[in-house]
Amino acid sequence: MSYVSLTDVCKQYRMNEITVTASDHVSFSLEQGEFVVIVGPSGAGKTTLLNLLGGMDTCDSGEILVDGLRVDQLNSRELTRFRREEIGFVFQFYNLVQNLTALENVELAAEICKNAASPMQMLEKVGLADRADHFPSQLSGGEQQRVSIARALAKQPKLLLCDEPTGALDYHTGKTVLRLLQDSCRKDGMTVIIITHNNALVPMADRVIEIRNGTVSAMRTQHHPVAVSEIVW
Amino acid sequence: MKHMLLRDSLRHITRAKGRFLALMGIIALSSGFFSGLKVTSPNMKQSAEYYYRETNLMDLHLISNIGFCEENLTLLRDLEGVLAINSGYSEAAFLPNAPGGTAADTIVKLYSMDFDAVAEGAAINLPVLREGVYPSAANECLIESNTPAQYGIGDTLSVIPAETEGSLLQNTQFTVVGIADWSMHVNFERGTTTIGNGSIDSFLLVPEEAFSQEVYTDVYLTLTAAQELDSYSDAYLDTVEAFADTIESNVTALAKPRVDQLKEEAAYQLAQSRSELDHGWETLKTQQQTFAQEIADAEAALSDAAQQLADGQSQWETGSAEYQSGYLAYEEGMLALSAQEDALTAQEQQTAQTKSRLSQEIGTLNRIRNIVGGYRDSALGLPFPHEIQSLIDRAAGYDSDVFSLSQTMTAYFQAAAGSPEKERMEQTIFYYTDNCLSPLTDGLAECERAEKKLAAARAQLNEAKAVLADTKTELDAAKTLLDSTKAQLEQAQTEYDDGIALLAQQKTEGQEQLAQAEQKLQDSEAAYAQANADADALEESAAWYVLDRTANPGWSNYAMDADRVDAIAAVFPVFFLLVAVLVCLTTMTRMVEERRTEIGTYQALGYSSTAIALQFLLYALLASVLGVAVGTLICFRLFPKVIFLCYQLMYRFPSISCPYHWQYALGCLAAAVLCTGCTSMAACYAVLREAPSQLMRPKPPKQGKRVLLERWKWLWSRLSFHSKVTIRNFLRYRSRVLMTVIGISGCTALLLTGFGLHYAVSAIVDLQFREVFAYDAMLAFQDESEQIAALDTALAEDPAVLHYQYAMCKSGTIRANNASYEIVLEVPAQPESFPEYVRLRDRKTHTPCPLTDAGVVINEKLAKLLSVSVGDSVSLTDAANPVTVTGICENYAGNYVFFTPALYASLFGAQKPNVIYAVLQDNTDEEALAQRLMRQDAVLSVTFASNSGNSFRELVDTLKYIVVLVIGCSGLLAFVVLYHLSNINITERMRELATIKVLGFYPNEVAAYIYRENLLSSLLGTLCGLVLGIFLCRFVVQTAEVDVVMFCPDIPLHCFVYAALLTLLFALLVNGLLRPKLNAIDMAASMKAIE
Repeated sequence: MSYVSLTDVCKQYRMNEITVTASDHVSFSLEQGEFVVIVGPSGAGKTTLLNLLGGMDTCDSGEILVDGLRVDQLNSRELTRFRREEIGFVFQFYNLVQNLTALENVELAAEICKNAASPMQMLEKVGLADRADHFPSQLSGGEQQRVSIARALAKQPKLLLCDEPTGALDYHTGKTVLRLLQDSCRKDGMTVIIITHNNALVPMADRVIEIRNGTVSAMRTQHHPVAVSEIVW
Repeated sequence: MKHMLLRDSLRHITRAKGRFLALMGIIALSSGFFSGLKVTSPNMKQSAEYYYRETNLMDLHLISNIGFCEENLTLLRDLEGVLAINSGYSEAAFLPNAPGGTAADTIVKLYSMDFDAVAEGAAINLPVLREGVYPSAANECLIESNTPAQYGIGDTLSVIPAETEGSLLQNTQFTVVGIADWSMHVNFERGTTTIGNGSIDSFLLVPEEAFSQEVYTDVYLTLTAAQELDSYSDAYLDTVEAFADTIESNVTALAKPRVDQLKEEAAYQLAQSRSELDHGWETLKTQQQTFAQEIADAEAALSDAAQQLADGQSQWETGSAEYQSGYLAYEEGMLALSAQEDALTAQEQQTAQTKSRLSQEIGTLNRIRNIVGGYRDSALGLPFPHEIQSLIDRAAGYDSDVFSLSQTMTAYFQAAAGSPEKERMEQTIFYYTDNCLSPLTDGLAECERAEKKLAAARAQLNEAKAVLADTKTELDAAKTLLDSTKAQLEQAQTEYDDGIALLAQQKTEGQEQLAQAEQKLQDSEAAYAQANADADALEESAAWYVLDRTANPGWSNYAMDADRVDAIAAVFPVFFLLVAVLVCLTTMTRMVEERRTEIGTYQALGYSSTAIALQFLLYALLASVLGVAVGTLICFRLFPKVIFLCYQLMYRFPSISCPYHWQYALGCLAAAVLCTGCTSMAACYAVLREAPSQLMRPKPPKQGKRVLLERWKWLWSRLSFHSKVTIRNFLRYRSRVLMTVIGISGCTALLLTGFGLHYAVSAIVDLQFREVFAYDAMLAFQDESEQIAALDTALAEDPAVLHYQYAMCKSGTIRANNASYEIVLEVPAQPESFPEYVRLRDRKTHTPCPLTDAGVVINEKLAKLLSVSVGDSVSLTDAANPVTVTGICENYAGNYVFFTPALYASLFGAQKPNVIYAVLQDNTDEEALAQRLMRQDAVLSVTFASNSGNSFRELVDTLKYIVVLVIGCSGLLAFVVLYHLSNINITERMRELATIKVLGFYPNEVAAYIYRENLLSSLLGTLCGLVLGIFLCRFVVQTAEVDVVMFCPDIPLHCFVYAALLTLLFALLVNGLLRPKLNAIDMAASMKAIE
């Protein structure tokens, strides 16, 4: 049985008269410790998938299984608990709390989690121990994203969900961040899912899921993913 | 503005309805609150004005000590500027509390009214019928709301005139035909009078026919010039005052007809009393003469009696002397007689003795002879028989020297018969015995002769005795006569003495009576002279009192109350305005910030800065216009109505009119537009200065900052993570915190003011009537000494009365530091025990303020009004000297100056008690006691502290509406501020909240994340508000105070607690209301790019 599996997941959004089908019978599965890239053009339904996986939204039909847990059957409180304990998020725009220092931002996540890692250790891990007392506005974009990753990892989640983690970053910084993500997958065995419209990231993944018009158009596993440093875009 | 731009800005409104409505709401609230309160006072005055106009309220009220006659009225009517004139009568009388009752405890004033004119609406001071009809007969009347509730339409009233002689009332029985309001008395004060306790309780309107008088007591005028003027305006007051001055300066001419009339009457009266006086003097003279004559006669009669008495006395004395001498002679005679008698008796006895001795001897001798003879023929041997022997023995007595008879005899007997011897012896014996017998017989004859002589002397003596006995009888008769004469004389003396005393008494009495009569006549003479002088001085003494509406307590109090609302209206809305400005500022700034990309885009598209700015201005304008419209439309009616509702419990006005006050609405609009417009322009300007390209990029998020507290590592490291976040955020959004603090502190301050005001007013009832006034009942009595004695006994014996004290209560005027106030002078008879009735003490420390002869004790409010303190001196009207204030005491209702009797006497002269304070047993049936006491003739009125307290309490109850209004408004304020700010807070930090939601914060944790800041600022605001509230409450309490009342200036702890708790409750309520909004935050928002 796969670590994560989606079976016939459907999600529709109703906006007044218009009904938008964001996920149309999506099915895929992935294994623990895999580095997964979900790729597709804008509006293909990638974010919806991320929301469903991350317990931020519920699906209309279908089955979502994360480490044996039927996420689709959880109520809102259980979903919150699920997010709290099992999921780490990395946002495109970092979403750090501006009024908290880097360390405090990590603590923000660690505080609510039962078996959280030490926030300071996490910052050390992302190489920002010396900037622990800095506010987000005093950090560069890449540094902020690394704090964001540290915050996500501090929870020691089952899944690390990253929404366009390099979308707001320049090339080099983007690469640093990706390397960090890849390292945490390879070294710590973290299951990482990256959502991006950038096809250039595809080669570094263990598994690639292509989304188009709300359905999975293709899914393949790559047995020899390339290192981040070799990727060019 | 370009078409699309306009559409865009309109769409902004419709898309974000909440924000627009919130902005509009705060504008509506603040403008409504401000203008609603602000128009209340003008509305109140205007409504009163309508009422006055509708009822044709007089502009001037004339009263005179001499009344008004028709000619006076004609003169007044002809004065330039008089529109209409009405005349009438009025009189105060007593009225039983219920129909058919006898205890006259209500004082009513009856006013005459020409009801024909009233029905046509042509009269001045029209009453407004609430029920029933106008009276049509002389024995019908209208009552009013203050008339005892037991009277209703159809009942019969019977008023009791104060004095039956001087009463102007033709009839005293009236049938109630209607209940009316009267613009002459808009509040519950009905004026004062000279009867009863001096305060009128109610008025009655009766037809003119109910009065019988040739001159009117009251004249009412309306003035042409005043018709169009607002009666609470200065112009009106000036106009009326000017006219009043005209009347006052022409009083002599105007009053002349009545004065002449009075003079004629006086002249007639004077002539009459002159002749009466003259007659009186004559009578007196006659009486004096008669009296003198009578006295002289009586004296003459007495002196005759004295003479007779003296004569009688001398006669008696002569008689008495004669009697004395007669008696003496009689005594002497008696003595002589008894001496004679004694001598005679002695002689008689001697004679009788001699006679018997002689007879015996003769007998013895004869016997001897007989025996001897017998024994001639016999002899006897010895011893002889006894008889013979004893005879021999006896014969021995006759023995002599020469011859012994006894021996002879012895011998004889022995001698033998017929012996010579014997014969010779016999012869010798015979011879001898013959010799012996002859002297004896002679002696005997002598004795018999002496006896005869003595018997004659005895007869003579007895004769003399009889004569003396007669004399004795005569003397005794004379004695009796003398004694009775003596008694008669003594009686005559007593009678005479009595006569003398009686005369003296009659003389004194007569003299006194005459002197009195003379004094009376002299008094009458003085009165006559006075009357004469009065008649001469009629012009000067004739007084007209020209009263305008300000003399009507209801009229002026109403204006003062309206002004008081205005003063409070100036303070209360400040918070709302401040908050409104801040809300506009944040809303507009936020809106401009939010739309910076859009602005940049418009700029890039080539729209002018003006056009873009106009877009925001339009938004602001729309919000302002709509807000002000809504706010004023609601509040222009709501506030005046609610406040008027409170005042309606004190004033009788039909209704309040709430016109739309354009000037206030436009003023508010201008302020709102200025506020929203300026802030939006300022925000726009800041944004428009930047280059379009810069604008289109997201604005860098506001930087996080360290707070000062972080420097204090020891504390900071000990704070919980959430506290740190809260403190950081709290300090980050300073303007928001400031706004919350201002809004919440305003709310708390308003609440505290509401509670504080309520306490300040309601507390004084108990403080005044339980704490300060320790007495239970106060009696007013009139000065009739016998009746007072009876009252005193009644009080002393009444079981309900524990103890009581006399005091004098008198109104007066006090002056100090150029201020003067009406006061009540209180002079307790026993100052040392006065605290048992009225506790004179310091309000804060409760230290007693003793009454001493050194100075007066005044109440705190009065001290404040006069700005005097202990040791200062104050002057009192009619007092000889200024007096020192030695104490300032706690008192809430009324202004008092307390004196010791000695001090009062030194300032004003003698004091006369006119009230009694009494302390009663607990649970006394006050009604029964009042009835018992009212039966005493001296008692004018009985007032119970409990009753006074109750009526005051009712008044205070009206205040709770104001408190509810204040609580409602402050709640609204708290709500608006907190809701608005939390709303902005949530919208602005939507991303942050969405993120923490994604991170897995439970809904409660998310809420707490926001609420902690809210609560912290609310707490801070509450604290500030409590401090601020103290000042606001003080201000409002002071503004609401009138001269004769001091509200309790302390705010008790529970008011603070209530205010704080209610504020926090509001805060929690708002937080609760925002929960759905927090729950609805879409986590997808965290994915979005920064706008």
